[in-house]
Amino acid sequence: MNSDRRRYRVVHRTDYHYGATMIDGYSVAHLLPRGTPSQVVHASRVASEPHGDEVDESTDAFGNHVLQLGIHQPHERLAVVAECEVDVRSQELPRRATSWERVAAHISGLRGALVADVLPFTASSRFVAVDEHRKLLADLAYLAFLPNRPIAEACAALSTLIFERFVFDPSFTEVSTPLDEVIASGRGVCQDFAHLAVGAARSLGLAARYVSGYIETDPPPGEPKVVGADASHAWCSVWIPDHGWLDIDPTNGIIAPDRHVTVGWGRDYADVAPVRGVVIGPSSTQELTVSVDVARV
Amino acid sequence: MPVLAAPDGAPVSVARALCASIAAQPDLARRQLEADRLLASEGAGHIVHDLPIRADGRSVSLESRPWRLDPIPFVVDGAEFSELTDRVIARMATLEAVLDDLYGERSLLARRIVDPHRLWSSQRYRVAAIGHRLGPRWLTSYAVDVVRSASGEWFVVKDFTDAPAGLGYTMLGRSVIGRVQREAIAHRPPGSSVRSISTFTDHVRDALADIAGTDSPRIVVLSGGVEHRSFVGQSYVATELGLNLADGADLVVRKRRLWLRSLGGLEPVDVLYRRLEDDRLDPMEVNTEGSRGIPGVLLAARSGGVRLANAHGCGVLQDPRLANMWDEAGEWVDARRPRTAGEQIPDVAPLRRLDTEERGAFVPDVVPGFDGTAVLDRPVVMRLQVVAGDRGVEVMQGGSARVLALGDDPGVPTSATAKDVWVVGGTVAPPRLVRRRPLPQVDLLTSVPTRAAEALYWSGRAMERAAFITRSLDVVLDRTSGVVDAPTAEPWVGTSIDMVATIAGTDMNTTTGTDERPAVLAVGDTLFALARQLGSLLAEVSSVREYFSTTAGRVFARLANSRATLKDIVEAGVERDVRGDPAGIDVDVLDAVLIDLASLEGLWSESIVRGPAWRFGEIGRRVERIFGVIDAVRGAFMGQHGSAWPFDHEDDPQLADYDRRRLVELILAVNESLVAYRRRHRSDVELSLAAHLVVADERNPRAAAAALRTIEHESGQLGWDDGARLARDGLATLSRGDYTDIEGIGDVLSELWGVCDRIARLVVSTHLITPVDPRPMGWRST
Repeated sequence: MNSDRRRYRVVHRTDYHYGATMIDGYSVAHLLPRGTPSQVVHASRVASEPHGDEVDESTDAFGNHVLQLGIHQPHERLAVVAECEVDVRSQELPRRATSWERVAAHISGLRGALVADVLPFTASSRFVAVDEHRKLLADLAYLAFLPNRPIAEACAALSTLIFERFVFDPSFTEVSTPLDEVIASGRGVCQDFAHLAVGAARSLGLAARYVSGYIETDPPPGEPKVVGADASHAWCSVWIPDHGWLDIDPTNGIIAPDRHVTVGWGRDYADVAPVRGVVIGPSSTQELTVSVDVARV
Repeated sequence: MPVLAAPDGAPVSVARALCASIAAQPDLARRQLEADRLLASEGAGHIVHDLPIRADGRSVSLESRPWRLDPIPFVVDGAEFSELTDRVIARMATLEAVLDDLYGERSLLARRIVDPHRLWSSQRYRVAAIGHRLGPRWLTSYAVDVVRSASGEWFVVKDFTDAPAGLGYTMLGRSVIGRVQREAIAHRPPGSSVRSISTFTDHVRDALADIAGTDSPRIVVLSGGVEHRSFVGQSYVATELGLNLADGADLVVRKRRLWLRSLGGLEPVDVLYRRLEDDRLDPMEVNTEGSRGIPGVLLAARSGGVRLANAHGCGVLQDPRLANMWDEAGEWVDARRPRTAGEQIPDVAPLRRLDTEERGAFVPDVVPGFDGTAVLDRPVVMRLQVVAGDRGVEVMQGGSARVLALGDDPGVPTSATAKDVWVVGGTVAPPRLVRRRPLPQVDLLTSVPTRAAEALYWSGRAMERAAFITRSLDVVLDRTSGVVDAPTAEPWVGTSIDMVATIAGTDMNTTTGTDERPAVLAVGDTLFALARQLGSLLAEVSSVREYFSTTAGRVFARLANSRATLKDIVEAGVERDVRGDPAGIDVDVLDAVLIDLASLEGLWSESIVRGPAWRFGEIGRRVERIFGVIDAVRGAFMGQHGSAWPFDHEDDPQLADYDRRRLVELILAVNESLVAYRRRHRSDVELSLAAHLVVADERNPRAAAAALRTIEHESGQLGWDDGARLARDGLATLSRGDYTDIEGIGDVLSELWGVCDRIARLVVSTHLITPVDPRPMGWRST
């Protein structure tokens, strides 16, 4: 580990109040963080109230840790508490300044084992409907992806562009806001901005994945508190040949995020939603509250 | 093989000759009607569309899918069919290998034979299926639509790899056309008989057992629910296979295993023969549509707790945006695939798919078909059913075909006419012996999905209520000659209409006094209520069609017609702003409903095995009968809100007495007890005697008391002690009751209502807890 290693303890609490008694419930949680080239997971656990009658852990096709939770008793609420302790260090930047066009060309001709790792993240997906909004997304992307610009620089520019052009507005959106609406309104939350960055990159033929995780709650002395700290966070990661994945956080307009804890990644939010699932019981109005605490230890 | 000659001397195949001779039958119109009738009796025509509301208020919306069977079959020569069959078997093996690669090694992607970008953009490519194959094969069942060109070459139009539909409809079609063209099948010269399709279900059952990985596996057919467009076919398949038909909510995953919720508790399921598409199978998975599925079923499958046929993920080959990639992918995997010794894949030229772009210029072959009035030459698309098991692949020796309307894209037939497919002559391979793996002797009597018991319970209730409504309206219209609204009508007439409204449950619409609510409107409301009850009945019985005989199916079809007539009458009335003008009511429709309901009661008692599901249905019927008796007496004598006897005109006691007698007669008639009364009592009808007869006299099978006795008996048979005890309490109440005056009778009815209501609530809450479809947990929003 480099000297820039930081250790974080994260507590992520999700509370569902169903407003009625559910007789059965099944949830899937992407809450157990995975290791990455710049992250080591020391400990992680998930607890629920009521306790899960069945708890199954598995790994999905993208290598994320998945927890499936069955609550087979009458319950009106469900609390899921995830805790973890991880070491993170700043991600490495690519050493070679390859232009983004060359990266796109490389991807379009990519063959062999890397296809399985990279190509899933070039496609259109439910929340990143590139095929549907290609023109809109490319128009946005070209503002940052200038001709022959090195890929890392272009990514940083995209991150800054979204940060400057869009207003963070927690009241505005649900997670499933289509990208054309996000672009039209100029507003959104971190999931939307992550989807937007992912979509913009994919519209140019690049591979970009959606990363789910957290960002440090309390800023170091003298620095401002960052946005998205009270809830789980999301950002974008772009693939660069001979380097790997480069994270950018368009919600905060930064590249090389260094106060971020990664939980998992996928094509979009749907692949790594922190908690989702189904309940069986009467129709009712559900309430959902989420709190996240990321502390440096 | 006998070869006939056409007028110009060219040889005519056996198939074409047979087809031509059938097309020349003079009575095709009659045969068409027979086919329509037989099809309707299976519920395949119109019975499963447009059914409004379930008895408990849940709505059922069904797509309208009326289709007809052409009395002229599509006939294929045996030799031609056998060659086609070999190529279909080879295609299934190829698709199996493609699936294995797409979800396993993914060489097709790594080498870009399949465009990874396009594949990953399809939501039918199931991420959860990536990894390794679960079970011995991806495809247990397969179906393919093929079309023959004018030059006699076969092309693939569509592959069905997900939950291939059509097996049930094919068997249904053969059973219908087998009867309509009985003599054409029977009188075939030696060596050119019509091949049988009857053993195919044995192969299916065998193949399903093959994937289980255990001896004597338990197999359940997962339907898409009664709303699913191929529900009738699904239910027919389950019946033919002798397997339980279950809905998503009937199944539950516990401890990484799949279980069926049955009346006897949870029963393990080893193999799920799913008729539900794979992107609707498990609401826990990413990108799952709707919520009919079973939460956690894929976790169970991954853990070996259940095997799916077909495996999750097979639907990707059906994505229309990807369909043009598979022929090339297939060539590539075929070239690489090692041919193992003893493999049964025929070495034949692969079938080619007709690309969407090619279809415009495609010239299909045509065959004669009957369009209801004339014989016309039309192209057809034939669907073949295939099943793969441990011992090889079996193609059904027949199938079904869709007639193409002029200018139809073969992939999108617009006509709703189907044809039975006959294969004649040629060398028939010796029948492969079906091993008939031992399946556990699942007692379908006790192994009943809770939903089936529930559906029979509500069927029983709807059936009985419909009968009460029909009888009451029929009797009233009969005795008033339809004149219910005249200013000169006798006082009892208005009250009789109140009684009908009470029975029909429309009395709450009423404002007091006939001035504000003409009786004709009440009649219209009643007809509407009757149509609604029949709708509930049909929706319920459609979901448990496997419990009823073919004869019952015919009755359902007739009731569906009557229901449509009733709705027409009501709607026509609305247009004239006088709903259901009684003078305009075709009393025949009420008579038809009465007779059909009576037939159904008979079939219910005589033709359904007395398992627990039937017993719950019996309880439902008897509960509703008690409520019906109460409503009849109250409606006639206590006003709609239990007020007292309305005709105590002291100044004219004779009139009151006359009205009273007419109403007592009505109650007896509505309850079908008038004859019983006359055989027992010499006197003019009297309220106290009549009330005793319809309420408390156990010797009268239509009495509330007899219904309670049945509930006591059936509860005992089910081991439901609370039900039996409540019924006995009710009987004690009835025998203690005072029937001498209206107050006494009112008290008895109140107590009886209380008992019956408790029974009805308890049976539903303790035994028939409806499994509910899952709903999504809220999505987080920041």
